[in-house]
Amino acid sequence: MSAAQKQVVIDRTGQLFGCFVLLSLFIVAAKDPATFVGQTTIGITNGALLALIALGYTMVYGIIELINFAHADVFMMGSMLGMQLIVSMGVSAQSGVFAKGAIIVVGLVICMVACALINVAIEKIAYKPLRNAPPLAPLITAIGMSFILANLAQKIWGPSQVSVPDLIGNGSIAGVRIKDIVVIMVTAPLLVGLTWFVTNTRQGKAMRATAQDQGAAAIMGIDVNRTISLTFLLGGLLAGASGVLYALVNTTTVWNAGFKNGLFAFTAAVLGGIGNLRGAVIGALLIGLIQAYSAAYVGDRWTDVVIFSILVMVLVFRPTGLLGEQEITRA
Amino acid sequence: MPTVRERLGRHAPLFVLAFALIFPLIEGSLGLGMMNPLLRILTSVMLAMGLNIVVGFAGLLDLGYVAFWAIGAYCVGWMASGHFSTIKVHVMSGLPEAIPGIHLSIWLIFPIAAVLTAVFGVLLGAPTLRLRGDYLAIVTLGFGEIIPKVFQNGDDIGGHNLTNGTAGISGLDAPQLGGATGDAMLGLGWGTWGPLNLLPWYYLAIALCVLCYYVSVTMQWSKLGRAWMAIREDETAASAMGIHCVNAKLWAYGIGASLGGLAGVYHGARIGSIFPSSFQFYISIAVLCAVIIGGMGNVWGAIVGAFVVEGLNFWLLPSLTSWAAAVGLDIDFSSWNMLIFGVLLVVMMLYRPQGIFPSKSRKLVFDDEPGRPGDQHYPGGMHGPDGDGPHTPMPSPPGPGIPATPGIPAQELADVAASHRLAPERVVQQPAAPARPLPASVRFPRYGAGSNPFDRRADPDIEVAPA
Repeated sequence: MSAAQKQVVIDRTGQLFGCFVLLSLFIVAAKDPATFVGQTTIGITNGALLALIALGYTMVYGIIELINFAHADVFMMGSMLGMQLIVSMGVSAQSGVFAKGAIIVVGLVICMVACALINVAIEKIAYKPLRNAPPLAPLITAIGMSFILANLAQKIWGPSQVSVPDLIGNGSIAGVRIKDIVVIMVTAPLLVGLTWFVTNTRQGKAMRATAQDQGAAAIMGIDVNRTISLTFLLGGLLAGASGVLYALVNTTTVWNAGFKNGLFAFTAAVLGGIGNLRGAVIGALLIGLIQAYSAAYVGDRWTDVVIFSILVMVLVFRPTGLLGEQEITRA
Repeated sequence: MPTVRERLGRHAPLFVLAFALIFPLIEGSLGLGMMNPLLRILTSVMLAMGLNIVVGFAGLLDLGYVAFWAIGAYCVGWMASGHFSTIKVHVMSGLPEAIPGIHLSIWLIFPIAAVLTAVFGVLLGAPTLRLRGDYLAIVTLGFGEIIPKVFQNGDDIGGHNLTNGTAGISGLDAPQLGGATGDAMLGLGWGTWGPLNLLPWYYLAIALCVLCYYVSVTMQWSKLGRAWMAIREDETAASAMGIHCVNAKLWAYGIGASLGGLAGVYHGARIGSIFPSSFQFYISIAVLCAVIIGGMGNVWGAIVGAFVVEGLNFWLLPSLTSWAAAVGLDIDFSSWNMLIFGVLLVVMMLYRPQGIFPSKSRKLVFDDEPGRPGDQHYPGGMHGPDGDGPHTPMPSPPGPGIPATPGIPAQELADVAASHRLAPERVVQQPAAPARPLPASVRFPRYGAGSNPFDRRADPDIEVAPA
């Protein structure tokens, strides 16, 4: 069998599998539409939170080809800082609507900025000196920074779950939870803003150029170091927003919250085609939906297995992700 | 003649082994209380040597190595406990036949688990063959998360309780070395090993480490090992040179996994119970860090790295805590272990990214200067015995047949001699001679006739006079 024929067989198998999954979802949805719709909104919320993290992964990977393991812990720091801010300002579930809204907006801004600074600091300390080192070296420092952040959070906020005041509440409007609405209201402008920034501004153009070819970008007069720092800054901003929203939606957070969410977000980035911004968002929404459906229909304890199996299968059947270019020899 | 230092270097593994064999005496007489952490560290040494085959030799970044450790541990859990209580299988277990469950002698479980984990290594490696670099890392990470999860949820797979879920499998059989007769011959505690009787476990760990070392070193310079290193340096070029990359990679996964499986069997049997929560991502990372900190691709690097990383985790930090408590300080160093470990990783990568003992070929990658005179003909490091252990000069074909350029300055010849660790008088200037093919009768002892990959005929400047 030639390589092309093999590829066709692999593609067909992948498509068959996809059809099978869609068909079984359809059957389940027809049986109990209410549960299905509920799970779908939960899935979209989860996916939106994951998308904010996944964008940070995919931007950094796109520009310096590094799996930024510390990114998940920047997200965790965001959720912890948000929690700390809400608690120390004395806002609780009983406070007035105005106070709650104000603390959410202010908390989001402060945590986004703080996370962006953390992310840029990590880049300056741990990745910049290793720009020309073999690719494993920054990967290891990324793991090191991740451990440092996780241990710090564990020492500051304790080793067990920390509860966050339930500021949004469990109400719903027209069958959609207010939590989901808040998440979408915060996430959508951020995603649109990021897309606008990357496609329409001079700095965004510099980012895309640097991602394509660092050397050529430098020749064209782009400050590569500044552009990379900017990428980390943007990733940190999004991770911070995601962290605060995560804390508000789940009303609890923990020092190792970053680990699993980070893995899921990275899976989402790979699923969409790493380095591809739109792909990361679509991949994250898919992962969020899969997470919600498998929690409802397969069993919560198998969620991780389902998601990682999907990751493995995507990479086997379509190594460049759903939206990535077909280019197998990517080093 | 090799110098004294070289001779000592060549036998360094034996010195280390001798020290390891008498270490319990020293430890016992000094009362250091290091035995328990040491057994855990030695388990990591086995794991590091296994992972070194996958990551260091073949260059396949594996972030889910803990999966094979878990499979090995569950092998001993299934085959040496009363877990499958509906059946009674006894093979050389030394236990009464009436006890339910599968009871195999641990000495049988080791080879069985090695084969089984190798099969799993190949199965999990097969889907990743088309992937390179970071994609590969992520897929292996995925497997490393899936396998422990399956074990954790395995108490109800199609109605069968396969792994007993989060409660794990406990009450494993104590390994036997002849039972009562063993006790009589070898001393009390050797016939049937209790969990508190650490000495037999220590010597078993040493034996397994020696096995892993032997496998690693033997594989490294075998045809397969050289294929791995060629793939690591440049897969496309390796494939163009006729290396079957798929097979070579699958072998790397298989052999690496089987060493991890051996470590898993050892760990499971020693602890006496198996919990799925102990097979965490953190362990994959710790072992990977051991390999990288020690120096990738170098067996001794992996060993030293494992001692550094796991020694820090399991011995130094708990000891520091108790020492601090002894002087009245209340600091729990163990709870800072991730921070200390993280700082260590970052500092290590910033100031010595090649590791403590980089293999020679990896060192070349890190060296900025163009290399020593003898090295320039062999870029990428596929030359000479690697920096692992002592440097033995390669056997060069004797007699005529080497093209030589006359008129080389004496200083340059001396440099060449130094670079090949030859005595200067052995490098002699040759009169110009026409290049001739090597006679077929020339044999290269270590590699077999005609298969010498490090053929030095390309080096025009030197001639090695017979010693």
